[in-house]
Amino acid sequence: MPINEGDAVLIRTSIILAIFIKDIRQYYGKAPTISWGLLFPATLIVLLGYYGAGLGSYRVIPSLLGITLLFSGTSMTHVAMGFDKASGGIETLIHSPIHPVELLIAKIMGGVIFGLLGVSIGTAILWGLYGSLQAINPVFLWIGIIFGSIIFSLLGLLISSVLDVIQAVMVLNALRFLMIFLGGMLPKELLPEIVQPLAYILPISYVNDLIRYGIYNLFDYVDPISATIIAVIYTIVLLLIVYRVIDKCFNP
Amino acid sequence: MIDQEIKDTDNNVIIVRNLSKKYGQVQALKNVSFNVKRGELFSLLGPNGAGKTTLLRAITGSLRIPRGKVFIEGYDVSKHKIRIKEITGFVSENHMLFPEIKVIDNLLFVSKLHGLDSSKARERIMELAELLGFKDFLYRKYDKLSKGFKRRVDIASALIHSPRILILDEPTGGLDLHSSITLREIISELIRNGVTIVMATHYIAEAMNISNRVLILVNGEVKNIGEPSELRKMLSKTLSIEINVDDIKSDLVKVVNEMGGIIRSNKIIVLELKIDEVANKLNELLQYLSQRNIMIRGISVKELTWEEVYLMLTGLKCPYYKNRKCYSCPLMREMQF
Repeated sequence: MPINEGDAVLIRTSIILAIFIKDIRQYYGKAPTISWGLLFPATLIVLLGYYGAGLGSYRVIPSLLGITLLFSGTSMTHVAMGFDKASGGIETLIHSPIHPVELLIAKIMGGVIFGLLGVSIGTAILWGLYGSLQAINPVFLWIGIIFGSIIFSLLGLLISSVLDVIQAVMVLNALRFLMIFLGGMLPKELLPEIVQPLAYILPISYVNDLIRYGIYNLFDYVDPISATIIAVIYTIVLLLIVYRVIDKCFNP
Repeated sequence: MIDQEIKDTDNNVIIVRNLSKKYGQVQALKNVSFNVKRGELFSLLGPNGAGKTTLLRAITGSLRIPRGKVFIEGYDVSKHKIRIKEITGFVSENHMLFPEIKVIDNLLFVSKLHGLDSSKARERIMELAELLGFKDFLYRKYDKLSKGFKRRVDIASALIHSPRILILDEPTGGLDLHSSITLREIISELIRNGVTIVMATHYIAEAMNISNRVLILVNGEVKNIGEPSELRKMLSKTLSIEINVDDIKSDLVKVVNEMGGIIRSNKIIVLELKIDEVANKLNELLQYLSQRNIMIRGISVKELTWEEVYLMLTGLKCPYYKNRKCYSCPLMREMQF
């Protein structure tokens, strides 16, 4: 019996949700997800939130939220894709009647939700350390958080799609630690001149700027509209690259 | 929509035409063409690296096809990938389910990927667990199962949406004898239930004993296609005859050598004769033995083993005989060592 368009959309959506729920059940409780995605940023927040207050809360709080998004988003998608590949489970997905885009959406959803969970925990800790946090420009704050979680989820997905689990964690950590130092925790004037251009390439600089503008009406690198445009460009470029990589898995 | 040009499929559910695939400089498939009929067990036989897995992936729509065409039930595989995955089931040579999830949850997940609703999926899972004999393991984690039971669950996951075509890549690879036999019985049962099966294997006896037809693939090229009995007949034009005698005299060696035979272990005459010359030459030799009062202790006609058929068909060298330089090897003249 032919399926009408509404039913077809419902079936496609339920397939995406099935993959997303499977990933939550299987990977949210995994040691690398918890330790790199939640415990490490939480520890960093407690440490730098408490001892880094001298840098100024306008610098510390947005950077810590950005770093939390970075670690939470990348960890979840890295584990979800890396372990699916390592266990052979990806074969089941490849040989099922699903489109690469559906797999891409399901995997990103897992990373974004985990990123939001990490940011919520981070915000709660910062609340405890600094008292209540008020957003002056909540729209830009949310743009920063949403795009940050998408960009970092895509980054984790990209690296774990092309490398095996161990190699991916090494490359991811190299990138993540680079972003901790260059991505806005320190004012760009304090960075050595030679690495300043690198800070402009890293997406975390713009995510942090959006969050900073959202909470404090201040920015470090570019104005919030430009930061939004750059975040959109990052998202589109990463989406296209990750789609290409996943499509290659489906059709080598 | 079914592609018009191959609508009349003459009961061929899979049609492969001039399929070629390259990985970098390696030509994985070279101009491969064949058909698979509805309800048959069609085996792809070939050594490791022959291109069997590449060919299976091309059939299931999980491979970009740069040259050639594959049609399944009239659908062009490169244009209807999702549809192809709806009507086929695939079992990889490696286990392909999620190790830390219970068997039933793995199967429920796969059924959701096929858009089945939960109650229908549970019914189907029970049916398959009964058929494939893993009902007692439904609530165990997948990675706690033995290889044999993992393979049964893999097959169940490929059958969850009741596909008409099942693609198996080395299904008995790494399994013990008992599990392999059980799995072959399961495959035969599926054929009886009307499922068309395409199976890649490098176990010759397995392919020859349970398949309706066999395709022999070497270095990405089709060497032969046919029913197992046809393939054997094709090579049975030569017989190896062994005559065990009580004494070998020096002039006998000369006579045997003139007939193209050899003497083995000082008492066994080994002759390789074409079927149409067996009567004359054997008669000649027996008369000679009788004149010389040489007692015959036994005569045996050796039929080619499946391994020998396989080596002849693939043109591969036999490492065992090659090293031993054993002149009793019936392949000696066919293969250039």
